[in-house]
Amino acid sequence: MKNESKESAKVDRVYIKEDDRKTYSMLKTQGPLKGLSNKELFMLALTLGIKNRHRTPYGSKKPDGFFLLKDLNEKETSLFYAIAISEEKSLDVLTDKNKVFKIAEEYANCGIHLLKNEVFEKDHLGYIDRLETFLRKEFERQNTNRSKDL
Amino acid sequence: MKIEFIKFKNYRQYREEQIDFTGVNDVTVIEGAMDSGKSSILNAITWCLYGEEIQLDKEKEGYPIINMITLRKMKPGDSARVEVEIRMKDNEGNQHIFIRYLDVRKESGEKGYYIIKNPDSKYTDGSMFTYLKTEKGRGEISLTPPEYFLEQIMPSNIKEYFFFDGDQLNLYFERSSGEKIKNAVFDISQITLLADVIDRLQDKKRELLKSIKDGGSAYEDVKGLLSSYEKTSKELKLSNKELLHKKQVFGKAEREVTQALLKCGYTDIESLEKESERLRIEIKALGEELVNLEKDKFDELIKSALPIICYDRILKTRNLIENADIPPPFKRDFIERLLKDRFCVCGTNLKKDKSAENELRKVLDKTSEVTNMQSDFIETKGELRGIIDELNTFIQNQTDYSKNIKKKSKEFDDKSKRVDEIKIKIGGIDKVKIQNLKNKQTEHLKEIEKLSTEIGEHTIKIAEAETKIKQYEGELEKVTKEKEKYKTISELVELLTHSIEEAERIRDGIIEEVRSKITNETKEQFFKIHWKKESYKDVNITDNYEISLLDPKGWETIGTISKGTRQVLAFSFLAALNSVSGFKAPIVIDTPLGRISGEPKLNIVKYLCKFLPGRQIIILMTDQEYTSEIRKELLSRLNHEYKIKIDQTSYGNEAKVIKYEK
Amino acid sequence: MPKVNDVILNRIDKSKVADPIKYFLKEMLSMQLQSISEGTGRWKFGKEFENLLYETAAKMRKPKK
Repeated sequence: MKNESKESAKVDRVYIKEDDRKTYSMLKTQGPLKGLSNKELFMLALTLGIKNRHRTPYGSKKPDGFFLLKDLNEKETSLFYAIAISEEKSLDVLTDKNKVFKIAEEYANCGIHLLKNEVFEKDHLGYIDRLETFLRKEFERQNTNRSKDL
Repeated sequence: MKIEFIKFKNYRQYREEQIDFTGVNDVTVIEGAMDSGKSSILNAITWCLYGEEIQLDKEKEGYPIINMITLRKMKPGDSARVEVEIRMKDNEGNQHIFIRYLDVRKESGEKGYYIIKNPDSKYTDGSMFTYLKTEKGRGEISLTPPEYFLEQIMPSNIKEYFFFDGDQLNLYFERSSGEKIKNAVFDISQITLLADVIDRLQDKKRELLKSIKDGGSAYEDVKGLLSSYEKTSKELKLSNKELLHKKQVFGKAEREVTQALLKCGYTDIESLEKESERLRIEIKALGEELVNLEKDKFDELIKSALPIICYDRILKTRNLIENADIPPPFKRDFIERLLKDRFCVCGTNLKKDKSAENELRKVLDKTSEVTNMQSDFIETKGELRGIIDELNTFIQNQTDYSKNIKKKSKEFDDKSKRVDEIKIKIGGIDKVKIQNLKNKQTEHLKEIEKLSTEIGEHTIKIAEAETKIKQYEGELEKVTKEKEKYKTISELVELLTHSIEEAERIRDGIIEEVRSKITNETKEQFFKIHWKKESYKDVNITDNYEISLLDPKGWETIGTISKGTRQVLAFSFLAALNSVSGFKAPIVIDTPLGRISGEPKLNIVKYLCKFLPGRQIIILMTDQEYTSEIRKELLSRLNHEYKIKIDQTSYGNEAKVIKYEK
Repeated sequence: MPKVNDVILNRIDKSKVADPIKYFLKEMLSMQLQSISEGTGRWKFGKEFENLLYETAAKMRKPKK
């Protein structure tokens, strides 16, 4: 395995597509997710992206810094690692932090649109309830799978 | 009153002598030549009674009062007593003994003697005066100051009218002698006595009046105060009764209003409003709680979203880490270092041992960067475990939140509903009516309070009035007693007033009576005796006892009358005085006829016989005066006749009084 | 023996005042005379005077018989 140090480009923030900034703003200022921080919205977008198993790469435009890595707590950082590791099916990905966050970012790039849809296109008053229902379902499914696994 | 005897001891010419005057008749004549000692008898009498020798002529001035023979017989240092005793007897048979004495000490030297002035003496000459009275059948009783006794019968300031000195006619009717005569007249006629009684009564009256100066009015005042307080108390009590009644009326009205308010649901309003207010507060709190709960629930949801979706990945990652060689046997860094250092762990020098270096490089190639990151993995694993643990409570938490939210929402709704209910209920109540009733109620309560205050004030005032009433009832009792006393005192004052009035009337009457009596008597006697009646028209005695003798033309002649006329006037006045004195004092007349010549003499003598019947008269006459003619006239009234004889001794002359008949 | 003049006594008797007052005056004169002639001029009948006064007042109160 080629061990390239991909640490040359220092990563200190999480990026989004420049075009998506508008959407994030809208979500931040209107609707049921009003008041959430950039990080929190990103995480939601990431959630939806992962659920949909779709990664949207950046394209030609330069990505925008959205929030700093130091804003992430240890648990959140670990989640990012877990996503990357499970995506690459290897622990080695951690040697390339750039790659780790890029994976998450690509998922979020997809997820943000899905989020926008959920919140604004559909009945946005009920979004949180839907979110809750969805997460409950998902959680229960995980549980049963877990017990299955055990 | 009559003189029984006069005793002389060492008094001037009379060394040891006694002259007896007792007998059936009244008149005693003592004849003596000039300077024989005749005047000394008169002097002795006045000295004894008044401490004053009424007649002192030039010749006697040089002589001591003590008898010269006695004095000459004394040795230096010896003392002797000069004494004159007069014993009188009154109509009731009581004896009055007047003794005056003086002690004299013989001294060597020019003067030869020294008068021992008794320190207790009230007299300028230092003599002592005693007075004794014996009552019939009883022994001698001593009475205090004889002066008082004498003043009633023979006042000293008119003694010249009792102890008449013919040689000193100028004493009589001096200008301004009126005052002293008046006082003496008042004394002997007891006008002074009456005046003193009047004074005493007036003093008493004044004293009584002072003691009741407010007597009468005090009663009225207290009575007035008492009744005014009683009135006040009564009025206030009545007023209170009315006020109480009014209060009751208002009380009833107030209760009615309260009932009406209840009917309108007034109390409800209050409690409803209170409840509503409380609910609003609770609702607000609930609202806030709900918001917080929703937020907390939402936060957890958001926080849990990614972990839940990444659950599989988390598990996979965990497995990978667990299955990975962690910690690795060695780190890549370590190998790199070895290669850099060119020394193996076993000590092989890699510079020298190329195959070892190659082997090591091979190992390096096999060693992943990941080995350097063992701490990251360990940490990540730990965190992921944490996430899973947290997720385990996700459902429960969410459920709990939901339950809570639901519960609180229900509460919120219920309460809001209740608030609305209340609002409707309150809306149904007639607020205007209630306000009116409330206003009325307040008014009534105010009235009631006002009335209560007034009643309270009245009650206090009533209590005060009652206290005062008690006080004044007590005082009334006192002043009623005072009033009684006042009444008594008023009676006394009235009695005294009448008595005083009467006494004054009597006094004034007597004053006038006495004066006119004296005037008339004097006038009568004068015109009886006087030989030249036609020369004079009238005798007047003023209120102030100034005597005036008027000639036919009405001119005052008193200043220019002859000695003879003066003597006659004096006798007349004497007779008049004696007639009003009510007390028959003895009269001693010295040289009655000495200054008178001719016809009047006989007239006087004739007159003397008829003059003052029943009165003791002692006449001291010279041999020239006592003619047989005169004697004949006096015979019928004659008691004793004495003559003064001079005894000549080696020590000197002394006088003796011997009985004598011509 | 000094006694009150008949002149005065007669006048008292002849006066128009009530008998008790007449008696009163006569007694007063007697007491006064006695006081002067016997004593030092000081009034020594204080109590007797009071009694006399009250007695006379009492007599005055009684209806005349």
